[in-house]
Amino acid sequence: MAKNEALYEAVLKGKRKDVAEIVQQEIDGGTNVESILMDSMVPAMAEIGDRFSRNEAYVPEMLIAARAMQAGLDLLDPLLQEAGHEPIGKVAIGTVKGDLHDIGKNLCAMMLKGAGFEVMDLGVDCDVDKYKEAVENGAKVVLLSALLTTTMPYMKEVVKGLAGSGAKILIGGAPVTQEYADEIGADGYSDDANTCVKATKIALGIAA
Amino acid sequence: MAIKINFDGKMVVLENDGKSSVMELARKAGWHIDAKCGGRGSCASCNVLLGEGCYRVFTETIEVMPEQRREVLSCQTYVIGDCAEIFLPRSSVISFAGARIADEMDIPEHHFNPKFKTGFGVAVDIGTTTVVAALIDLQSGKIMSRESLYNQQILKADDVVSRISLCSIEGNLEALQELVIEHTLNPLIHKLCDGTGTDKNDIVHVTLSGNTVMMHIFFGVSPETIGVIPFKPVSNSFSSTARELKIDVNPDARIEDVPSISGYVGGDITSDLHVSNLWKRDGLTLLIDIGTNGEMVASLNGEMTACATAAGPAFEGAGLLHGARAASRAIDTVKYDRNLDFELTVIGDPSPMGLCGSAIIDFIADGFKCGLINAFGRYDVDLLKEKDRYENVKGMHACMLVAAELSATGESITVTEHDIAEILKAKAAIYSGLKTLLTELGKTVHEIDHIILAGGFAKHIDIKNAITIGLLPDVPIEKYEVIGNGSLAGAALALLDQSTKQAYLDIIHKPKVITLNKTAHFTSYFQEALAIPNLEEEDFPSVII
Ligand code: B12
Ligand code: FES
Repeated sequence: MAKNEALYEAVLKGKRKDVAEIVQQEIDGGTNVESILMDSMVPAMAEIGDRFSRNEAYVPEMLIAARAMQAGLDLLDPLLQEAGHEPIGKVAIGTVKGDLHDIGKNLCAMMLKGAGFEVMDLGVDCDVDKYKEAVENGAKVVLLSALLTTTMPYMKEVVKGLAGSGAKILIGGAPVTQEYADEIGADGYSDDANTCVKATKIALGIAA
Repeated sequence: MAIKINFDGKMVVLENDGKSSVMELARKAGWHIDAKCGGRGSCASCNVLLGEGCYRVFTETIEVMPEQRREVLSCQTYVIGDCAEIFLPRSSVISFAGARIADEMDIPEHHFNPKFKTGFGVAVDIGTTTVVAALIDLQSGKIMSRESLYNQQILKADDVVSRISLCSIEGNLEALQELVIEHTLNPLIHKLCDGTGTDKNDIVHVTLSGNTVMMHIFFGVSPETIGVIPFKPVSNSFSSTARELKIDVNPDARIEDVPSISGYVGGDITSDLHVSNLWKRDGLTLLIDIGTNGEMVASLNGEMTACATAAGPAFEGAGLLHGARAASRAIDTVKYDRNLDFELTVIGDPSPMGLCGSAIIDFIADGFKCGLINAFGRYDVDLLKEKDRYENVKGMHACMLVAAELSATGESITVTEHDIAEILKAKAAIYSGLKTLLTELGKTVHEIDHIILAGGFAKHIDIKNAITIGLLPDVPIEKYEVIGNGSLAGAALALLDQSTKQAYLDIIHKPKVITLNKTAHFTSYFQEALAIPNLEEEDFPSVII
């Protein structure tokens, strides 16, 4: 299938109900599920991401689009798994212990999925063991999110806990900075969901 | 040779002590740099310009040549050697002048039955940003005088969580306690006494109302447990003596607080509930404090449910390019149509330096109505250009409200799309919090009978505009009621009628406090509320026509 313009626009404009409707029509019409995702929805999220990095879209718009994207993914996910969709890498993401903010983390997870990664979402309030378990289950990159200045120091514990495991650690969230990442010895940092995808690719050596 | 610090045409010369950051040096020179994140290097509110000299910025050593300027975070910068020149931009220096503080209060009818029948009492509202105190004659019940001051803790950090974080470092709890008592409350008491000819030794009772974190720090108890799950306070109520806390009144005076409801729903809200009699009203009534913590309580025929929504400080101007606190030189109202001829009012001094929260709400509301700003908070760039209002600021589209030559800073005053996005996040937190509360009660916004707005900010906003941007629910304006400083009134009632204390201890167990993350709807409501006024258009029939 070529790009479904209506679907692309609906994701871009954050029209959740329209996205769900069109995706369902496409599925019912027998369109290849991978193509629905890769030819219309992923390009729409990529466009939002690009606009974001050009300062032409901001977090509210991105969240609204992501929410529409999710409505489509909910329908596609089970079918994609059946179809044996091949991810470009396996990563894990979670909000650190003591912190329950997950809107930014979910947005990052969504952009990563959109870019073709298999994403293990560890949820919120994650302790070191939870991240370790994810690495044992094959995560090559572990992404930590923290929104509170009181929970940010826990990232240091996770970096210590995962030392020697071979997994790369990326950190992010509103109070986190590059300097902080350097200070605690994390492998990378980025300030938004779009650059998060780039940072993940760099960590895995699939992009320069 | 020495370190020269420049601000507003004045220069102060200091010696380098080798251990003070540039931020601390500026303080020594008498200027208070805004430290929104508490000096952690993550907020950029403390920017300064470096002139000739050698410096360490984070871990890097830099040298600035004569005639050159480098912009850096002052909290992360140290002078190397003893020759340097530093320029403080107006936007980084906290001005205490002309602050607009809610010091009016309406004390409801009550029995006059004070615990101490002679002498004086002081009622205090301890806000995160401002502290207001009232001197009361306990024999007659008369309010003698009121005074207010910024809570000097803002010199260390802006919001409550940053202050909690500071307390995890040795010595900071004591430092914060000293800032609020020695540097804020005691000067207020001196002013009250001087102004009325009262002997401070005659003050025998002091009552305080404020959020839970403020109360912990005031009484010297670390609030650290409120910073992490499950956000439990050490205690809901504290008391002590003036001697113990070094408050400059009669040393035996009793110091008591208004008890708090939970870690993020504090004694200030207990006061508001008592003063507004929320749970004694019929039907569905909401009480909202539009502030950094966004506390709100819904009462359905007397059954109360509460939450805090963490809107953040955007409405206080924080995080906005030309945001300002509601003090002298802040633009406080804006009005315009498609011609983009902005009608502005400014607090105090006529030449403005930025916009405070009420003006930003007006700006977005009128912009949305005339089509300058779309539902996602983006500008009609062509219109901006056509009307000569367009500026590109650091790659962002911006609307110029005041030209450089008319502003106090010598820079034009603009609103960027990023600023609008920050306000949208804050208003989304408030609106989605209240919608979640209603959903928990099985109600919709259209079933609200009454809305009570508490807190200093509410007095100064245009409620219609707040509805237009989707901050407040779209119900007829007659259903809104704005109460003055309920927190101060609550503290005063505790002085005037000794049975109030028991009433407070009863109230704090009444609301069921809900944790928004654990509800099924919050995240979805938050995302819908990021649009102007909301993606759920049925919620705003009078705005979407
Ligand atoms: C929504 C919100 C909530 C919701 C959370 C709902 C949820 N499911 O997440 C609720 C109401 C429940 C909540 C609760 C609390 N909150 Co809150 N909350 C916010 C708010 C309004 C928006 C946060 C948000 O979602 N932003 C949008 C997302 C998209 O942005 P983001 O998270 O920053 O993510 C972006 C980047 O940071 C990055 N990123 C994020 N994670 C990662 C990870 C990696 C690896 C990478 C590379 C990048 C990356 O990419 C994202 C997209 O670009 C902010 C204030 C504000 N205006 O920003 C406060 C805020 C974060 N909360 C705050 C506070 C204090 C709390 C509470 C402790 C207290 C309270 N009053 O309720 C509780 C604590 C709950 C807990 N333990 O976590 C404070 C934190 C202050 C501080 N100094 O730490 C803030 C800043 C508000 C304030 N100033 O008072 N909150
Ligand atoms: S960066 Fe926040 S105070 Fe310096």
